[in-house]
Amino acid sequence: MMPQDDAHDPHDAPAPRPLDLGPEGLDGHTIEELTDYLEAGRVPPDPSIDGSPSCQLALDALDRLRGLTPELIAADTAAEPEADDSWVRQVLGGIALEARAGRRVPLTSSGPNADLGITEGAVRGLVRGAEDLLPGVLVGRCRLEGDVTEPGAPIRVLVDVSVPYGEQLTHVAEQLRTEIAARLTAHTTLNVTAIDITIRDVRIYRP
Amino acid sequence: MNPMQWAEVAAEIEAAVRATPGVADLYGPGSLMSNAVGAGARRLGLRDADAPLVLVQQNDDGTQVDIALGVHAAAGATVTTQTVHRVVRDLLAGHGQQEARIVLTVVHVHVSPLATRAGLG
Repeated sequence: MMPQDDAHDPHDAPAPRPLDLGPEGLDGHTIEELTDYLEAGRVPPDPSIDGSPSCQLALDALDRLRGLTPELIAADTAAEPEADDSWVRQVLGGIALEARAGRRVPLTSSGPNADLGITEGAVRGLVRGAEDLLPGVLVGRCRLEGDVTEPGAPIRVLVDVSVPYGEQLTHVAEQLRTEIAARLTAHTTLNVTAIDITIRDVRIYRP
Repeated sequence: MNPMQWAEVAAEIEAAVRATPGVADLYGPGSLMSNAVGAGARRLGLRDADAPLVLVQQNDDGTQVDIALGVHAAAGATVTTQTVHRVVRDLLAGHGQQEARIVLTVVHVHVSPLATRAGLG
C-alpha cells in the first residue's frame, strides 16, 4: 500500500473492478451484492442471502470491514490504480473465496449413529473473526493445511494479515495466535500443531 | 413410517432443534455445497422457501437425518452439536427410530459482540 497523495482526489479514482470470482462460492451472489445488502441494513430480507451459510460468513467479514470508510478504500485504489493486489481487494477476495463451505471437519461424536461436523468455511470464519480483537488488523487469507477430514490429523493454520502502521508486529502476531487457538479449541476438535501468522502488509491508514 | 409421517417427524425435529440452547439458525442441508445450478435457481426465485430444513433420507442402510445449523459462539460448536444430537436421538427414539443415523453439520458460528469481548467468539 502506498502513502496517500494529498494532491490526489480519491473521488477521481477509477471504480474498483468487480472481483473476478465465480458466483458459485457465494451461492449465486457477488461480494458487491452482499456489500450493498449490508449497507441497506439487510432489508428487504433476501432469503437467498439469509439462508446461505456462505453469504452469512461473507457478511460477517464484510461487517467487520465497515470501519473502513469508502474514502479509505478509494484512496487505496487511487494510490495503486494499476495494481491487482491492493490490500482491500486481497481482503475482499479472501472473504469471498473462504466463505465457501469447503471440507467437512469432524467433531467428537457422542454415539455410534452420530456424525457431527463443522464446515471448513465456518472454521475459517472463526479464524478470520479473531481480527475483531485488534482494531485495524485485517485477515487477508486463511488456510487450514492438513487433512481436516481425518480426526486427529495434524493441522497447520496459515493466516495472512494486514496491520496498521505503528503496531508492534510481534505483539499483534502473538495476540492473534492466542485468540485463534482459543476459538479453535472452543469450536473444533482439530489437532492444531501450528498457527503461522504472516504480516503481508503494513498500512499507513488506520480504519 | 410413511412419507407424510416422516414429514411430521422432520417438522418436530426442526422445532426441537431450534429450541435447543446454542442453536442460532437452521439452513437447508443443500447449503453445504455450493451448487451453481441451485444457486442459479435461487437467483431465479425457484427455491422453495418452505422446503424442510431437516432432511430425512431412507436407503438400504436405514434412515438418515441431516441437519445444517448455525450456532451461537458463546455456546461452542462442539457442545451444541452434542446437545442437538441428544435431542434428536431422543425424539427419534420416541418414534421407534433408535437406529437412525444423525448427521449434524455446523455451517456458521454466530459471533456476538459480547462473545467477542469474552474471547469466545
